[in-house]
Amino acid sequence: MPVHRRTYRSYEGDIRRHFRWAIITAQDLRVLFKFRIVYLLLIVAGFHIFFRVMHVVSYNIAMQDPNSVVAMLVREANLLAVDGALFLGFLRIQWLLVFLIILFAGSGAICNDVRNNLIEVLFAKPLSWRDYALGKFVTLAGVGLVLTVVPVLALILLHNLMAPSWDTFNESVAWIWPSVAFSLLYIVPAALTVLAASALLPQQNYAGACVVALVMLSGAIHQIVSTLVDAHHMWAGFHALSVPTAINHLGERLFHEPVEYELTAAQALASVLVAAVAAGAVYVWRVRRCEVLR
Amino acid sequence: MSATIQARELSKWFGEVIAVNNMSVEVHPGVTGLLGPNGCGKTTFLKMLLGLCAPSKGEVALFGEPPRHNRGVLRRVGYCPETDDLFDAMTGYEFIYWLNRQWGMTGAAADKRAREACERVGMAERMHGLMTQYSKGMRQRIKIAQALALPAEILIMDEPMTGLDPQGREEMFALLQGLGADGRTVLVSSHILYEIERMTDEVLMMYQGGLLAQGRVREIRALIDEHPHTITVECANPREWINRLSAVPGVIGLELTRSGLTVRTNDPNRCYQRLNDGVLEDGADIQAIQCADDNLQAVFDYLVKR
Repeated sequence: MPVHRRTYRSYEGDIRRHFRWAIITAQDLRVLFKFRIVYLLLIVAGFHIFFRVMHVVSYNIAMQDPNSVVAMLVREANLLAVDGALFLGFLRIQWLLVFLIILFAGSGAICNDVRNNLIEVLFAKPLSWRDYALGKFVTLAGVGLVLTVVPVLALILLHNLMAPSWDTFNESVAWIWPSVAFSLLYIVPAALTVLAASALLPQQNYAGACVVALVMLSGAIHQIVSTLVDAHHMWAGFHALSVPTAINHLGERLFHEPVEYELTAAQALASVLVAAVAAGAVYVWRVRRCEVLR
Repeated sequence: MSATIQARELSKWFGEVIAVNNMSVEVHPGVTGLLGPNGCGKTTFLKMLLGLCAPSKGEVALFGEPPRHNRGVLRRVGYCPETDDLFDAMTGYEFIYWLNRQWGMTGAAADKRAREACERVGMAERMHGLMTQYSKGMRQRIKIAQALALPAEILIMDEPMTGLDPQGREEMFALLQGLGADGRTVLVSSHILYEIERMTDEVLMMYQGGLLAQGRVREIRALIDEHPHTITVECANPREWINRLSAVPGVIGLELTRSGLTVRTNDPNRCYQRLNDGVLEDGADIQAIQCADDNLQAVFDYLVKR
């Protein structure tokens, strides 16, 4: 056995020991913004935000003179009102774009790493499955929240700047919590479901198709069951079989809008939680299996 | 110097398939070749060393500690996997940079080390190209570079030469030998005997999940008693040498060939000594002495009884 002298230099810099998931998130975001389709979806989302900004600006200009004809028309016809319905409507449309981005970014998040064996290179580093799983989740949730909560906060700020008063402030601050809650209610289950599908299936396309099929199946089952429920006056809780319906219902309740179905908030919340927990459990189980093959 | 990698009675089975069977090995600093045919369990063994695969039985330790979930140990290990389809949406530089960040480096250090590693493997000019546009050899270089970019004391390389051109191989042989000479433990797996032979004579030989032999090729060869050593001697007067060598203990066969003679012996050192003495004492004309079966191929063939 030859005697070797250690002549190489050790690493003498700082070592990041906390929030290691943030590196996974940063890397994923960097990769995500290499795809043109992401920019396209962001532009569409931007148009929608711009439209809502115009809505708020128009309303505030119209209401500058409350006795004017325009202001009376706006009030009477309930046009352009800056209220809960505006934010609920904004978030519902924004949700479609967020879902597409989450689907695109998340469906290949795990399966591509597994297929390319990148995951074993990552786990051969001082990186745990928790860092990896959390990093991937934060990427999707972060993109979703940036496209929903941040514009809502900007619209509220704009509204307050154009009509500065305590009444406006108190009224608009009350929309922040429902907006954040509603956004989280659809972003978290969607992100976990997409990641679970990506962790379960071998290819990005399969994972994407699987999630779309799940959403459609859930809607179809809801339609069939609700027809039966209406026909036989059965338990209204069956509406919670469709997670998107449950999320919409919670949104209507959060923004104090008229509800479409006779669900209780608890039933709707249970539906969303069950979906999120199930998807989360599958996701964690698969990622842990990737870390150490047993 | 103590072993940096230790495995004791290490086994791994997947259902009824035994991938690694009762391996007990110690690997010391320097370059060690992990040799065996495809499917013999090399990759599973390496994955167990990295904590990526839980042993079904036995223990594995790197620097005296189990590697699984052990950040302190994993921070001292570099891994180059077998596959080269690592990340298509990134450039070679970005790939290494982000892996450095995941190791725990700061942005500036990750950048510096990624550039240095690309330069080291001859990819400095192409490091900002997309990995989809790389040839197989270039991907292989980037894959090796990501392991070299880390301040790792143990480098585990799974088939690192696959896809490299002859010049690239030579560069990589020199690079790995240099890393070994630096005091790092470099464990290189391959099913190609020449590659291992070119880099080191310290080998671990695996066959059908088990450890065939460990040590220096010649030491292992010397222990194979049932196959006598074959020495070919190119000389001007082979008949005279037959007379001389027939008296050497251990010689069991002598055969005339077109350019000299072939000696079969159980004690090659005595033969070499006699040949040396002959040259020194009598000025005998010997053009070449070659041991035909103390190379890795022969040792491997003998051990698996091909």
